Amino acid sequence: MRHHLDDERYGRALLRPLAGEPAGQPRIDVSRAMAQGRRRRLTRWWASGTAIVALTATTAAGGTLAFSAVGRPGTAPRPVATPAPSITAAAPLERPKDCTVTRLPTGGVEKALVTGGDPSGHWVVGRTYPAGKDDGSRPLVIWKDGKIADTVRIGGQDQSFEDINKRGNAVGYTFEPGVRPYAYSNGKVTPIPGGEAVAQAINDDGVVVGSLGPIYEGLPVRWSSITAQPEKLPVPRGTESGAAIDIDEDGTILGTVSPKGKEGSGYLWLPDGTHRAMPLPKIDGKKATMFWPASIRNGWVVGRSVVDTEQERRFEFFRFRIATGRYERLPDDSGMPDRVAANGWIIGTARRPVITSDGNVTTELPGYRKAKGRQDYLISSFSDDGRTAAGYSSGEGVSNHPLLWECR
Amino acid sequence: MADGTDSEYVAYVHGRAAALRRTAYLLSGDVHQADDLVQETITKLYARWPRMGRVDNLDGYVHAILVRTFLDEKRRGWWKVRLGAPPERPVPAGGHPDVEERTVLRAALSQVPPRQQAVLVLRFLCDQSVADVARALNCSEGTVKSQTSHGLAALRRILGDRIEIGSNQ
Repeated sequence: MRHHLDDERYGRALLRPLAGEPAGQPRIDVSRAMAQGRRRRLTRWWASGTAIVALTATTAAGGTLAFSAVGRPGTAPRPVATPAPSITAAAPLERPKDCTVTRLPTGGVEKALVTGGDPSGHWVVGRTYPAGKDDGSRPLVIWKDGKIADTVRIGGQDQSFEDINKRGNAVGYTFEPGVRPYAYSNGKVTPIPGGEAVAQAINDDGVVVGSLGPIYEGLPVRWSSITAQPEKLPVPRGTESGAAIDIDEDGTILGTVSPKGKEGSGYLWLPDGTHRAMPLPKIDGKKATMFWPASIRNGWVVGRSVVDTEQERRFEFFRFRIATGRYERLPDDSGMPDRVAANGWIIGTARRPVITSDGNVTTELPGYRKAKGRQDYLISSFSDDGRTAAGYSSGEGVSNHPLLWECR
Repeated sequence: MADGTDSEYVAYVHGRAAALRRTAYLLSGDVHQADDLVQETITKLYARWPRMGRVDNLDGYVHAILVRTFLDEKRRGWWKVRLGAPPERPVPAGGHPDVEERTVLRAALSQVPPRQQAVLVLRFLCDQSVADVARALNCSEGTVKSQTSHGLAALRRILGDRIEIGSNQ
């Protein structure tokens, strides 16, 4: 007698069969949400800033011209390092040319990410999201020269390889549900000692760095090898948390340290045992609130400064030379820096990945055309010669494609 | 890298993931779509996280992001593509009666206009008040009530005599 029931009772009774709990484990990926959310923060900032003019011009050119013709010197209306005209005339600046993008093979799996790569450009690591029943476990992939070299299954959930070195030794972590670090070497996966910890990077000597303790709340740590016990890195008095995020070939470690109740800023642990906070760059005469480093290579560090005002938080992009202690501001169209190469070139992301080469000349990399709709790009790897990069696209419907860019 | 408030974000998301996923599942009727919806919701949340200190009712705010993401995706026709089945798919003969009933109901619900679907699910499956639903959909309480009536009428029309309720009420 449904017409006698009011909407409330009728509605409840009618829909009751649809009540129920979703089966299985959640398939959400918090670290990816953060990476992509961070990109969107930046995109919005861009869309409201003056940099939009330069980006639009690049896109217009990229639509019709061969890719190698797109890059041009930075157009930011501010003092940036630019080569003297006579040098340009005498010796043309080196830059990446004829860049192409290819999707890395995934054995038929539609959705996959690239999470790291090695400085030689030969090795890339990532993970896949096979269709069908999902238990939160991600099969991991190691690619060599664009082909699948190995696939690995590790216990826990939301697994990732964060880095790989030129010998093909990789490190990463899994959630069990606390974080656990592990290493991949000679086709075998082994836990890295230390209990709850994150392994973030490995250099060619096999030294591993990361953080010890719960993720985002741990302290910076170093392992002299994948089988060694962790050694806590020294931090200033009053430090609440911190993390080592990358390691150079000479053993210099890059990370962040957060004083109690505050956000982190860049920190360096040098091979001679000394350690210090990275200086804060000045923007238009005003000292930044923080510096957030992204990666280190051959004595270069790239990252962004944070300037907080009452209304907003602004970011500016920088390259830092450890030997001189000097920052160099990057042109706006270099994008947010992700990695730096041994030759000092930088790869960042704006609407598409951008390589900033000698003389701050920027070259936008091609997008992946087969991906539908608007894509964001995230870069995880950059070779020492600045001509090979790997990362992934993220588009509508939370789709992802693992991508490899190669230039001459 | 750790941005300080990142740990609060991670803690918040881990604490609310199950509840968000349940709502997403009830809205979409599909576990995989539910996970995608939650993923998109927490991505949007992270993008806005530095400004979240000013939000009085964070749970309500996040819930509204989820519902609006659901409506956006519906509008784009993404669900139809993902479902890969015509809206009026026949009920498999000889199946379990509960399964048949769910299948018929879900198919019928998917033909109701998206905002009405959201209202029906939030009110009758998620037990939300008219005021909460109004906040999530950014409309008046009167609109929620009228959308409820329209949605139920549409469901009745689509279902015809296929589902009888009330006999055991």
